Amino acid sequence: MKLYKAPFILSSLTMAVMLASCGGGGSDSTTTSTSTSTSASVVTGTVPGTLIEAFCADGTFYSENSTNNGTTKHPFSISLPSNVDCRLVMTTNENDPVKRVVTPINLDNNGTISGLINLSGDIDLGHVPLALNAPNVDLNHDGVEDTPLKVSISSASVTTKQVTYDPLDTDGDGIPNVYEDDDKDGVSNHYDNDYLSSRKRDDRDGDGINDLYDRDNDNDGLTDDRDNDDDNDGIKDSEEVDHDDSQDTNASTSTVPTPVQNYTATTGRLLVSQCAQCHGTNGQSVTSWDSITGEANELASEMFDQGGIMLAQAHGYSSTEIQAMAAWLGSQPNASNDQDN
Amino acid sequence: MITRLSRRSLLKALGLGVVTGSMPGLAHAVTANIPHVIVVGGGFAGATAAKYLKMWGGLGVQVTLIEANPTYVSPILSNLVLNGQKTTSGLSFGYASHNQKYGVNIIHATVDSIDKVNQTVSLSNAQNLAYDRLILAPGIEFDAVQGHDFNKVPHAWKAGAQTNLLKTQIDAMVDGDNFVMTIPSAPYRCPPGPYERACVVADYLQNTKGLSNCSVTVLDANPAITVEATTFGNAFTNYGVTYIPNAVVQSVDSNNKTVTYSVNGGAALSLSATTLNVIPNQRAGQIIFDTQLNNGKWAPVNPLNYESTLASNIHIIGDSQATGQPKAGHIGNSEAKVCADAVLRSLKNIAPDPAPKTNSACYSPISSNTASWLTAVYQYNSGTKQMELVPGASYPASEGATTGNYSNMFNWSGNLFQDTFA
Repeated sequence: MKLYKAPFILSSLTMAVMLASCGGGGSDSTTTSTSTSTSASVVTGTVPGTLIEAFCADGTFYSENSTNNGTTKHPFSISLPSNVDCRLVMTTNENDPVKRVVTPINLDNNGTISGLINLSGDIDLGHVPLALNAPNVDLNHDGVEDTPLKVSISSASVTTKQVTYDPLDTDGDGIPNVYEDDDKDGVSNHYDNDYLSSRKRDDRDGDGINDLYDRDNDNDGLTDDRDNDDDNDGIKDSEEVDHDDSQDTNASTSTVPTPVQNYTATTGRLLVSQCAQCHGTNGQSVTSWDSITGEANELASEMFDQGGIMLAQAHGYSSTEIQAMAAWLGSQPNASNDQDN
Repeated sequence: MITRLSRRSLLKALGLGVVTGSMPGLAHAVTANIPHVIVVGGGFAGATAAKYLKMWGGLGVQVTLIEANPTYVSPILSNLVLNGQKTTSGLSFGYASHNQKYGVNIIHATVDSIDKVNQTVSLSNAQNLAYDRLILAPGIEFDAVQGHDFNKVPHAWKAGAQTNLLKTQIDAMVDGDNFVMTIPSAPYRCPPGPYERACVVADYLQNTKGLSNCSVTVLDANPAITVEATTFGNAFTNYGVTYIPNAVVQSVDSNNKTVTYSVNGGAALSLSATTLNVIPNQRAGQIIFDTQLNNGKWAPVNPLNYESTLASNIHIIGDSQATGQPKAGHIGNSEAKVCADAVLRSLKNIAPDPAPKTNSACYSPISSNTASWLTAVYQYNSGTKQMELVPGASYPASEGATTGNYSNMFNWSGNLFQDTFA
């Protein structure tokens, strides 16, 4: 049985959510329904004195320290993007290379156990009983618990996702790539400078996401499009000739993604997609050639009145096809650079 | 090694390496119960398919693009690298938009093997990925030519280092030197491309560098100029290009830059050049042969959905497929959309569009400030089950090379690049 027989479990998600999961965010879209795409969900609980980190599938990174309240149970609160897959890691004695204990966290949500969590609202983990001075099981002596700590919870605000392949944990053992010990020298990748320098040159923060696609290249919590020092080397991007991007602006897009709880076959859309090679995706031109999005009534006359290469193309389409194209284009927003309206 | 560096000093110690892109770059997990489409090859066809699958399919589909290189160098406009009007870096495109704007998983690796029965793909980075649908867009492979060393006699028919090698050789030419290029038997990638190249190089040598005694010779394996014969023929006359049809390459002496060929099956002839550009005959990408998806040199497909006629749930688009449509970037993009739509429909058990349209368009520079164009629209013939030119449309090419066409060439390519990579 192939997978496409499965029901679309995501049918309740909105288009805005899709944008978020695609690494988009409010500024990436012209649609009006994106206000929830940047929403955050808060994970709270208590721990021993601990560094809490989250590695998220949209290339972002988050970290918080717990607050010492004088008891053995220090409260923490970490805000993560909603509807994005993330992995939690908690580290006690994080500043002591000898006593440091790194503990990946699995959630057991009503019997579904996974380290890959996807939040739709706030959750409280209660007290997380982390090891303090030595891992419970650490056969390779890298300071990382060999088995993630299972934290039980019962919440509709989190989905524990079981996946066939997770780029944050490519061997699927529940230990994020960043805390594996790939060169087997007893130091996890995250703290291992020889490993990083030799093998991770395209993933300098070691989070398993190639720098090309990592939205936070240095895991400092500032996404690169807001970070004036993408690699955290102390040299501003604008003054450095290297991988840093010095253009910290969110690229805007005019594309209107199609919400697809159900894939709908649209003749006009497929036909119009054949205009995009010359007139831009969804008819939004990025050159001085005409944008055609939003054009309905004038489409046919424009196709045949231009002469030259447009006229040569126009003869290839029937009037029925041109009507279908006009109907679909008319359902799209007008382009700001339309030369005819 | 136990030394602990602070994160800051650690990053400093790393130096500022250039991204080499061999690690998995994807940021999205593959979830078991959402259909997974793998696209192999990130050129015009594959990159378009991956983008449109997610643009149209959204959260209902997971898409992974497997591409060996972190950037793609467009062969389109790459003849303008030869005359210095473009650079290969200026024609390079990455996949960040695919990943971050559309949510396509990106893996920079090559495919070792495809298991057609279990529907899995084994990658050079030891990953094994399962697919519901597989789209192959591996471009072209070259037929071997005896003695042909690409590092000495560039083909420059896949853009990048080869393009720059050919430019370096052309730039080293002095007055009286000769440039010889060979054109492969059709079908080959980009029908007007070789003729365009001969024109651009002749113009560059004569008019930009002022080397009026350089010669340009074209050995064409075809019986005549395959497209835009009037425009290119006039330009050849104007530049004094020596054009020899029916000239089939037999071997190359790469050290001495000598090509041996025969005309109409006649006796072997040899021609030595200062700069020799041999574009070999072409066939589908190697993965097509390794997976036994070929019939002869190309991969037969059903043009309604580009599914292989030799294997289920494997689709082949772009230069490797055998529909008879031209092999070029613009129409590769065009086929990709028909394929993406059909794949998404099939995942919902909807039949493909019964009457898909594709189109082809190409602007060709003829000099440093003029260009020509040609275009065509293809439709499905349910009788022959083939894509055929829409009858009666009598596709005119441009009436000649003009400066207006030259500026429109960038209007065309700008949107084509955007539609494919951004």
